[in-house]
Amino acid sequence: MLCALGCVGLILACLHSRRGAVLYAVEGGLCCLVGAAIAGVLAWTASAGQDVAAYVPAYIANTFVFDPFSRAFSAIALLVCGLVFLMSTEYVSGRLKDRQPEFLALIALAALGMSCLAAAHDLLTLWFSMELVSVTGYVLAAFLKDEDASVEAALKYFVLGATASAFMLFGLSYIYGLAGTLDLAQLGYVINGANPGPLLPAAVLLMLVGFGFKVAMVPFHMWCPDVYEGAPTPVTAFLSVGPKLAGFAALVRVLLVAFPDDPARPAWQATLGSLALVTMTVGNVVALRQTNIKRMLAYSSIAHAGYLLVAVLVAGRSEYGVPGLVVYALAYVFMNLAAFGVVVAFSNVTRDDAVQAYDGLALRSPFLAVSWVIAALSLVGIPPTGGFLGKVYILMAAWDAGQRVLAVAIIVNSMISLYYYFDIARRMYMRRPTTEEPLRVGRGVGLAIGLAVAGTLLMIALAYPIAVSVKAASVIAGG
Amino acid sequence: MEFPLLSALVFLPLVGALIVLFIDKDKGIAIKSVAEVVSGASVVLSVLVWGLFDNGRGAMQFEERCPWIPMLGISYHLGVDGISMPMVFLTCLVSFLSILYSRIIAVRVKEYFALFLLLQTACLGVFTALDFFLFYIFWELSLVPMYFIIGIWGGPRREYAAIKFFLYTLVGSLLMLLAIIVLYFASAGPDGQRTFDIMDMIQRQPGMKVAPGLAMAVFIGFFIGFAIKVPSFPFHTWLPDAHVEAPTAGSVILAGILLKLGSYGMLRVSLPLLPQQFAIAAPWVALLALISIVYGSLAAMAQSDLKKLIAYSSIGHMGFVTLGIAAMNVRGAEGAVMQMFSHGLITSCLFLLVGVIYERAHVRDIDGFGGLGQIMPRYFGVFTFVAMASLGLPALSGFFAELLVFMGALESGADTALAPAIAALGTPWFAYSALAGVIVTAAYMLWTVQRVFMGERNEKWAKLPDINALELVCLAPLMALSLFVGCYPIGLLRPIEAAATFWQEHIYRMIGGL
Repeated sequence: MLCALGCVGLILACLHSRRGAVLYAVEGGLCCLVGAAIAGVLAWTASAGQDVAAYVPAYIANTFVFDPFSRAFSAIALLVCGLVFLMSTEYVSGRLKDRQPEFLALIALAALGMSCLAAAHDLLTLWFSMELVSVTGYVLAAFLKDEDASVEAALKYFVLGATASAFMLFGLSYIYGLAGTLDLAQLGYVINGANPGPLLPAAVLLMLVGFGFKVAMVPFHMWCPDVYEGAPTPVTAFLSVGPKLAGFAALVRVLLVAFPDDPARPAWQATLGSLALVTMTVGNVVALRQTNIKRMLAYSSIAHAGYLLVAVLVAGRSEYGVPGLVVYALAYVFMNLAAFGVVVAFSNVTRDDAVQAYDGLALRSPFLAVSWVIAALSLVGIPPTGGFLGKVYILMAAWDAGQRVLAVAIIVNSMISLYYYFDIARRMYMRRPTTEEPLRVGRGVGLAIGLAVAGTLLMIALAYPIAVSVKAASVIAGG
Repeated sequence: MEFPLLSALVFLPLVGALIVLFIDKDKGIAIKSVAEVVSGASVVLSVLVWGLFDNGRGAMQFEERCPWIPMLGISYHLGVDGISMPMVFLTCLVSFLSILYSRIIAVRVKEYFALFLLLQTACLGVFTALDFFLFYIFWELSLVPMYFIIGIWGGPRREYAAIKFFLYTLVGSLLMLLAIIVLYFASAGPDGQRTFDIMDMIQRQPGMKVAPGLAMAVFIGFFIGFAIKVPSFPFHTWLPDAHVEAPTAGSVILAGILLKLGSYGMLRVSLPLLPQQFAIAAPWVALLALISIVYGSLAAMAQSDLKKLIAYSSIGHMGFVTLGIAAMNVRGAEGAVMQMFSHGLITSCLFLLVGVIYERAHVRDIDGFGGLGQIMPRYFGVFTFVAMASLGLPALSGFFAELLVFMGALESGADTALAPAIAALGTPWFAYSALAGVIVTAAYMLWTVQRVFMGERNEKWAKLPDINALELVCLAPLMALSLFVGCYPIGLLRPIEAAATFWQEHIYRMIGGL
């Protein structure tokens, strides 16, 4: 609730400021981070919020659930929003002349959608929340409306996204027809043990199409590289983290609460398992061949969707599943935004996203190069980083749940991913730059990168409090 | 609470690295001084620790343990025993001498010394960590600085060599990570709490609780992780590239310390944690060791590049370490640790010596030299001394270490009660065949000395200056130690024997229960 109010406040603040949006970016970003910290603490001290429901009207209370898990993901949504705000400071003032406030407002709106998505306890609310995130995403992708790439990206995103939404709605309608309810808890009650016939697996799979699109899961990932490449870079950073993580949060809630032991489980479990394997492999292998860093990070984010999907898949089968999802999500926010921060800072100055442009960056900006190396270590899963902690959790969850093939697949994929992340590091450190001129990193984006890198490293140093809070945050009401 | 000596020792270089990062990058001398002082202090500290260390006790000493992530059974746990103590000292000494020798580095000084100090912390961490989580963190941390050291300050093919090194070793360590996780789920103690602690796991023997096939897979996961690092045939192909391209000090650390991480892992983890599986696999491990010895030596003989020759000689010498470990008895383990220490001294010297000549002549082609003995007499003397140590001349450290390995291998064959499989394959024959490796080593070392230093005075090299004071200062401690250990091996052997006996008793108990 707090987060939702915070987001609404931010949106209003953004819209009412025609001038000095840059200032708002920094202030808003810092507000978000503070909000994220508060929400994080609330998620940790799980006692406070359960009875919030008593103060809101029943028609809201029944469709949202404010459990530690949803609060944790609200905190993550705010964290993403804050870091992206900071990251876009220079971009907004440099490239978006007359539409600065809307840009920030839309990101805040999407963050609101993410919070709702993580808290949705009703399939229709969930669908609406997802649309809220998606529609703002379409607009954001098109924000450089004078550039063909941006418009093309947005159009592609919109057409495919709308199709996926339609599939999902179709699936939801079947589920409603079969069970007579859209409330997750009641669905779980009705479906559990009953035999609703062969239509249920089909309906679940249709619903998964919508989720699959949102989290960029193979084979619904085709939009991802094009949209990431064409969209304004801070938007790409946001899309690669925000909607994806919110999608996973919603997915794990749906699967745990509404379909814990339904007869169709083997069908969709096998499907999801093989899709996870294919997703991570396709993402990593195709990323090897990319020459544009935004496309490379797009495929990398597809690969990470594969890892996260493993955590979702085993959530009900291992005590490490949901904690694995939460801790990996947190690590992913830090490491992916650190990596994108480097790209934003770099392209603010050079307007170039080709990987060759990164040659010799270590001599021009040691800060960006070191940040990239730490982000890359984390993305591969090498200690001492948050990504390592997350990967250990997911591997443990996978092994614990008996998904041995997936555990091995994660290991193999980590090996593959080393090559392309460190190919950039190699260029930065081992090549000579075309110009030795120091590259100035803007204050806002520099702060965002610094915070994200610090978060990545602190996750290991503070592994104990992290593990405690993650455990507390992994409580899913009714799951 | 006692003063955490080991933590201080492990993290001292890291503090140095952080200080270096805060010095202006143009103040090269200040950076080098800080690195030298910090690394020198770590040598003093390691000597102090060894001075306080009880050489007669086999169990862990200076243990530090505090909970880190209790719900996952992860703790911050450090300790040293007679196996790791010599390695800790070796790490400090070799790091210090490499940093001293690196005074010649002129480009990107700040990054260079920060990475070297980070690398030292990582290696010290691996040798002292007693919790798998911590062990793995340090293990992986050692990869990253080395990747950049090879890739930035290396030779012409440095980018290729660096990523090859990184990928190869990452494959090994990720397999190890999976193996650790498998054992974790079988590590529940009497209270049901699982653990990542190596010592607790050794007590609980999770390898006996999982299916035999899975236990074997876990063993293989660990073994590949360690064998890549050693490197043992057939996982050795990264080594010649990495060594040849790395800068001199990088090669010294790589050969002197990083290779020992692998064999240390076998001694610390594979042997006591999975003794049954090791007993089954021992003949195959010994076979790989034997191939490494013979193949490494023969390949060394065929090289025309001096640095590559020494790189291949490392494969051969490290093969003795693996053979000693595969013998699975006290003598073999002693020989292995002695050989690790001795090889650390000698191969560091050899790479420094290659660096000396390469700095002057800018080529390393063995046949291109000749008659250097007249031009650089002191260099000739030092090189010959080290070559003799390398080929196992008695009274120098290499001889005694290899002797112990042979004794271990021969004994192991006789001990049929321990592991019938080993006896069946006939480890004595392994020992005899490994002798061939020694002979080949002697042959190529002497041949190299002959080709480089003997013969007609070559006017092309007439202007080469002889070895200088800095280089001698870096070499002298290593040579002196090699001589000392060769003449008075019991000084080093005592702590090793205590620890090897301690662990061997544990292994006998475990296998006895088979």
